[in-house]
Amino acid sequence: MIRPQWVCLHCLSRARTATASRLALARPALAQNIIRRQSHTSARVDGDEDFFLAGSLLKRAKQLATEHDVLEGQLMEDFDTKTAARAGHLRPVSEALKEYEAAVENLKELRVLASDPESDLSAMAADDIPPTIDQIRTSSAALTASLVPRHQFAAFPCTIEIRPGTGGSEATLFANDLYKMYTSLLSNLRWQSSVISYQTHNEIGGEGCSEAIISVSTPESYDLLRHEAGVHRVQRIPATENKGRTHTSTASVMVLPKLGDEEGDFEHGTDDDPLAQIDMKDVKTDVMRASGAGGQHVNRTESAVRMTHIPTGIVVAIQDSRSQHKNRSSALTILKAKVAEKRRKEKEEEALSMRRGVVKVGAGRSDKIRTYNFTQNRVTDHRSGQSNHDLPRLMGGDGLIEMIEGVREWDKQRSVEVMLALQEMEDSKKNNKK
Amino acid sequence: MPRISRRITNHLLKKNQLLPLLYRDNRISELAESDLRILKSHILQHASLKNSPTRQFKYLKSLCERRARAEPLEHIIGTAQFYDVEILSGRGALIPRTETESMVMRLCDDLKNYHFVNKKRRRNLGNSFRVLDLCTGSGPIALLMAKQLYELDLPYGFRILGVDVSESALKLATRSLEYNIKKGILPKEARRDVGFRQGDVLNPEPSIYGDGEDRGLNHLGKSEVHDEIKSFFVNECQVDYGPMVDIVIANPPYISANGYWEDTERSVRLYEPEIALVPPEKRPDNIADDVLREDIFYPAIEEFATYFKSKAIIFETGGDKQSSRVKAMLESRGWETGTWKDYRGIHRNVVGWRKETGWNWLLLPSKDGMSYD
Repeated sequence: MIRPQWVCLHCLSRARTATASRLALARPALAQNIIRRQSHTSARVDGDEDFFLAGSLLKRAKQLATEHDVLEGQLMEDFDTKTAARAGHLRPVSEALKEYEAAVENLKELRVLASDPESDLSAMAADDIPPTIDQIRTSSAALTASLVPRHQFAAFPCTIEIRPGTGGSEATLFANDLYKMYTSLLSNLRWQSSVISYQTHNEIGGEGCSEAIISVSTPESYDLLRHEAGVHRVQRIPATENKGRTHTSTASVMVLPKLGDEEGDFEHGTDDDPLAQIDMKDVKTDVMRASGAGGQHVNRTESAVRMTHIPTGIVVAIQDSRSQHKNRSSALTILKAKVAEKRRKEKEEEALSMRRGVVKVGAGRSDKIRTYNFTQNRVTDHRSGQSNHDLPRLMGGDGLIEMIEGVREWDKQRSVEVMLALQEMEDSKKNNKK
Repeated sequence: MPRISRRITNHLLKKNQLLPLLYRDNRISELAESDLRILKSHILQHASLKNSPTRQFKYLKSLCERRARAEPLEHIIGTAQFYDVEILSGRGALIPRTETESMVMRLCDDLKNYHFVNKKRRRNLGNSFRVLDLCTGSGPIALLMAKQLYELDLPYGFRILGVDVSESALKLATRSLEYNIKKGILPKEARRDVGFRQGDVLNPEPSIYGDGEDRGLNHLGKSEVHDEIKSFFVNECQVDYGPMVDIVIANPPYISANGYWEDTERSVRLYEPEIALVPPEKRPDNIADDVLREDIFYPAIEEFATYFKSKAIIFETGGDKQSSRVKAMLESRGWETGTWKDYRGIHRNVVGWRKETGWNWLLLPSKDGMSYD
């Protein structure tokens, strides 16, 4: 398990206010400043400075910025689409790093000025230090954000599906509680949503829900809500229990991106279809022909064509026309359509397997991502390690967003760590080779 | 002709009783089957035979017998399918080959994907795009290029002139043009945009306008062929500013005298004119002695390309060795050159372009799968 080493629990529970998180959704750049101030990084550059970036992150950022500069240099000489695309991806990193370095440099100079008691400027410099520190915080937050690769479906709207897990009728009661929690969260966020399916039945002690599906049509909603996917565990004395024992039950939440909306207006399998694009290097063409010198020497009708798309193994044989080239181009058209069809099917299967992969079938109580402990009035997220001690308010949708934001930060940090580990692995490989 | 073994005949008879007939010339069972399929679909187009299977079969059998005597399929059917266009076939001209089709399609695809991609190039300095097809025969290159260029919808249009020495081939070419217009494959404007003229590329006859003295592109009088080409293109462009022709394309006779007896198929020798296959024995005065007989058309055509300041020149050749000879000849005359392979993997085409035109896209692989290298 990866330890969320940087989280300062004290800070998180004390200072994360609802205002900060609302801002985070409305104006991320501004809000990161506020949030960043409250989270302490464990790996510090400077002993007493909590706002500098971790050394490993800085190293990675510098590498990427250097790569960006090299690519830009190449582009000046010769334009190439691939290089341009890569450079475009790296541009935010390079810009954020420049900003960060400028701010750090600034701070150093100001400190030198401020520590000189004889200078007239020392007072002014001392005044300027706090805003500069703020600037460093902003830019380092931006830098970290730019380093983390975005989730491939981050820009999409999503659907939330809630189903009861282990625990029988108590689980259906909890599923209903979760449904209410998410609807109030969505209305708090003012995100457009609609209930696709909500099936309830009466249980002892309240209304149970056997399935609830909410569709959220706000773009980018998947980026935030994907952290909610998983098994939610509840520990309480159910209304159905008559001996006062605490039960543990679960409900599973699935969050899936709503794909497919992005497909443009084109007929499937035509040249405009992005899935129908194939590299001619992958296509093997066989023509049924006699051996010989060809050209003017031979006048046999050799028109039958067979084309194979090697990566997918799709074969198309055409002999409709007497013109070999006519057959060739119709074979290619059909091949493209078939490849597109196969790719589309694979994409759908991928989406389906993603759906299955979100929650393991029969997920037990131990695979939970979050525990709602009613007896202790506590909600704990097992990934970020955050706890909230006002359960009723959280179930009403308040304070949930802070928890999700915490998980997002944890996720971001984890992806940065993975990124760094991969980088180190590559580096050590290179060294070994040398 | 070696006789067909009993085993193969039995094997073919199991599939169709007419296949042994078609096997006689093809010698590959798949090709024989493909011939049979084509002939069958040809039979179905005859409305008069529609209601009588017996007569249909009799007719089909008679066609198969003709094919068994090595008559080319295109002669039996009457037309050759040359990509989009149909070319009438007859004894007077060479049947258009798949390799030629590839050459034209690759050129047109490259023009579409690399050359006419921006507006300035599409305008072509306000001139129509001019193509000169020498040794055109029954005109397949000219007609297919016309069909492809109409699809590009150039702002100033295009003009294509096909030149051949053979009267009978030119008759076929003109009839093919009308045939395609009648079938709606080519628009009516093709009568204006595509022309066919008679003329000898190797030994141009003297002009009726002068004594053979050359007074530049704007004046008639160099030779009869030059006059024909000039009068076809001249009212379309301002030659003072640039070339009179944009592309010279040619599939000249390129088979050597020995090769004609050794490498060509019986069907070719029996049913296609030798004049379209083997260059004449009498060598023109302006061709150097060290040029092989099968190569003599290439320098002669190159002279036309240079005279009309063509931007590019595209040849079909007999194979790897001839391609390298033609390439060397073009290079020695200041062209940038390259070769294209055909579907057999043989270097079938030599392309040349003037350096200042920047037409090196001619060597880029085709985008729509029309190239083989």
